[in-house]
Amino acid sequence: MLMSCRAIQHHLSSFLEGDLSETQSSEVNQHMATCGTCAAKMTEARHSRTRFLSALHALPALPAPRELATRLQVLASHEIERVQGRREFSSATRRWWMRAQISMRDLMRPLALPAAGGVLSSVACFSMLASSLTFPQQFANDIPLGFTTQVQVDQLSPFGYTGHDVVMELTIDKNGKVADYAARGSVTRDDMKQLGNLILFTSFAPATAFGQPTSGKILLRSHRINVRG
Amino acid sequence: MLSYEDAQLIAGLREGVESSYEMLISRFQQPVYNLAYRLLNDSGDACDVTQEVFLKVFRNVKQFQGKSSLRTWVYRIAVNESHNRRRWLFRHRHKEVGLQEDFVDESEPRDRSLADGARSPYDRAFDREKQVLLEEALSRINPSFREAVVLRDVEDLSYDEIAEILQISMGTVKSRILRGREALRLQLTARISPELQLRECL
Repeated sequence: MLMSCRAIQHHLSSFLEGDLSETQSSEVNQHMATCGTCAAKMTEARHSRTRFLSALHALPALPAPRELATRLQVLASHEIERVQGRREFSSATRRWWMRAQISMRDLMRPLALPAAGGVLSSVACFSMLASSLTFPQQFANDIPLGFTTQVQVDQLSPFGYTGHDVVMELTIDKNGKVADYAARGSVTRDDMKQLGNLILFTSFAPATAFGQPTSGKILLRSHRINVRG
Repeated sequence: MLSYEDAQLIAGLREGVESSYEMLISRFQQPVYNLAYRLLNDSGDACDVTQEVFLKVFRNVKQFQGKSSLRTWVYRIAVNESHNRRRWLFRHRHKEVGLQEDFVDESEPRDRSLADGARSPYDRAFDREKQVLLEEALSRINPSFREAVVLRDVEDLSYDEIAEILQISMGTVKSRILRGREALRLQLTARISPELQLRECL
């Protein structure tokens, strides 16, 4: 059965694009052979299609801006460097080191000048002032700090001792007063009396720790000294 | 699938050989820019897209397995990038203030490309008019049709290549091209009918 003119119109563009099946396109061809109107329309459509496609095809190639070529070259050189750098470990480490140096320099440069200026000016100021600086020092009555001192006998009793040889351990409190005493050796009652006087009339400087008076102990040995004559 | 020349070029790119990079750029800079321009209709966007395409090519050349030709691969990246760009523009353009409204950058190279001593100024003006109309019509049709029509009728690629680039079946390629041309024709006739004198040229 032959196609109607209407069906032909419908298939026209598909026919021209070569998108119809063989049977369909042979039917269209048969119709064209008999129908002058459709043949004329077909010719017109074919011309129009050719013109349209050639117009599309003739759209000029737009030259890419020169700036694009530069951008692409820069991109390529970065990429080349990246690819090559990745291949060689040594160059990669070198690059890393250089980058670290650069970033260090960038970090330090804003600080370096002010810091160096500050140090230099402070040195200059100090050297100018150093000669005129005096430090008032008083070494007299200086309390030795930072260590401990032992109990010391300030002034011995004016009374002598005539008893047996004896060693005494005295405990001196922080006010320099005798807090306790103990005697070693053979001590008689008379000796004890003499020793009591001795202790009573002797004055002591108390022990100190870090400049503060504290309690401490002292050993006293008394000998009987015989003076001939 | 890969020609010897392409394989050499790709090996060079992987090794970081400078001449290979230069060759790739000289071979594809113009076609990629052109394609991007046809798909986006803006010189600046086309430049950006071209740069993105080359960056992707450089970065992904290691993964390229050579199942398709180099040209198809590069074009596929270009089409995808243009597609992404268009979507991005669709989302962001309305927020932008057009600074370059009156900055007609592309007119200069277009005139240069038309320089043809044998043609009269009248013919050139006529051609120019025709191009403008076509380009406008192209920019107005559905993007997926536009991709197919541009690849087929402007870039002159085969159906096979287009199917590979767009990653669609042959049947879809054909139907998109057909419908794209139809849409283009409709756009053109809608534009031209008031100006009958121009009908002859199309």
